[in-house]
Amino acid sequence: MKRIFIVIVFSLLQLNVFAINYAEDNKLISHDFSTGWYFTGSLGNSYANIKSNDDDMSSFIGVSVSSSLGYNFNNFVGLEFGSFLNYNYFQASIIQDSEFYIPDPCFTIWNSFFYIALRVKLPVNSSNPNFNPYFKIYQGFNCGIGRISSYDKDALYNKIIGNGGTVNDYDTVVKNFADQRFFLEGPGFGWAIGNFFNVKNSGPIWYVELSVALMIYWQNYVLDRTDPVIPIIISSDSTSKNERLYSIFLSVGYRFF
Amino acid sequence: MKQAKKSIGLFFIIFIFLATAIFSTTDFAIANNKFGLFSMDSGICSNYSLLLLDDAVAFQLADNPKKGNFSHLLRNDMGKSERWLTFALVYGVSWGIYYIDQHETIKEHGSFDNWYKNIFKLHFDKDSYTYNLIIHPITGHYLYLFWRSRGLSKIESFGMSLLNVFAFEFLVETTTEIPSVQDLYQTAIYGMLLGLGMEQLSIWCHNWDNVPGHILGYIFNPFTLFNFSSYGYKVQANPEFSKNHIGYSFKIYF
Repeated sequence: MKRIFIVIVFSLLQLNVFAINYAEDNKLISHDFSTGWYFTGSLGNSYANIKSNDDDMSSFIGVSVSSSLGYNFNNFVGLEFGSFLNYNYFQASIIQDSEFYIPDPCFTIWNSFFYIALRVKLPVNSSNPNFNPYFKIYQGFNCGIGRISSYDKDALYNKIIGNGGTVNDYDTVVKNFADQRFFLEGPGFGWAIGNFFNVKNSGPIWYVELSVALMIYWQNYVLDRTDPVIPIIISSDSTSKNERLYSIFLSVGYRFF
Repeated sequence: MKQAKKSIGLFFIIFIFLATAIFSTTDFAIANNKFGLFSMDSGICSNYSLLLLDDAVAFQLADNPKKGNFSHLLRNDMGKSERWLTFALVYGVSWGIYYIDQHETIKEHGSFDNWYKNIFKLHFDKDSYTYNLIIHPITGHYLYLFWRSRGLSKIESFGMSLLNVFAFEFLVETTTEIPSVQDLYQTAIYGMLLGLGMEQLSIWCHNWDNVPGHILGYIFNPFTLFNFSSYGYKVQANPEFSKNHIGYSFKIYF
């Protein structure tokens, strides 16, 4: 993973150098991306899809908040730290493995994705204050906290009793589902395309951004959530099912400075 | 269906915060372009002199300084020593709050070894989202509003609150915990996002210029209440010390 990270960082740097050269050669540098710090925040919708070797779960459309703090080296390229925070509600037909049997589960995931990104102004010569497209590639780390919000309790009961279990066994499983949450983490990367509006006029600069991200869950944890402050790790293991989260974010936001 | 309703509710809550934060952008544009330089005489809302501001606004403020002009006032006279002294004060206060809140954990798990060894163990924590997404941003927004109340610009306030967040995370909390990426980012960035909105909401309420408006304004931004704050309509809250008594004089303008 370290090697991949190094390759990506160097790729970003190379792209940066390329972008600056290209901008200077083609006289694309303008005052649209003023040099210096910038801070943006946006609100949007997210759609997510969890794929693994033996499952494919789609989410309902959820909400997302994104923010980024960056620095424009010149009027063309900026480096930024940012995050996507999205809340999605998933529904699956069944989850079954050596530890868990959950019929018709519905669960929610809060996913926080922190990234470092390179934002490049797209090479267009336009004097229109409402046409300032940009492209962004990012790489980072994500962590998702989820919990099972509902499932088919009758089917679970029948399964446990059918396997020779008792009502107490069923109660224990139900209590565990209520007390536990799961935590998923791993690297992620993606790209975004957007447009700044109102850049040369007075008033707020705002933007629309479409972003696509792939987040890989390479480690998962089951946590006891009865202690609200310090979570107790009940179990952890590397995911063996190649679980990954595909997300699409459509956001509208403002450049605050 | 319930979840869908929750999502919609959440969407609107976040939307309201962002919408209020949006108001701040114009204000920053004014400050950034140096159109408006405020100076203020001593006293409560007694005399504003306004330099280089739009004429219409200047006349409005001169005619009726109490009406609709409550705002953040940029200070240009904050020296480095005052800035770092204030930073040290906030750092000291964060130690105090941390001890009060976590004294049992400090007794059980805290040590000086942890304090400096944990600095180099940055990680992604597994705390609940109540902590990461609610408590940390709320803490961060108070930090941001505090620095704003000292008269700094938005970017300066963000910079100083970011430093305070780093100081807390790396030089206070390491006594018992490993620094966390989420805490650093969400306290500073989401705190600022929330602070931008709360500040504008507070100013908007103060500008109703009536009792409920001022009360709401103080609730949304408690730093507008204090004497040291760099906002328009001020309330004086001065500590008083003498041989015979220790007290606090409190004057609120409604």
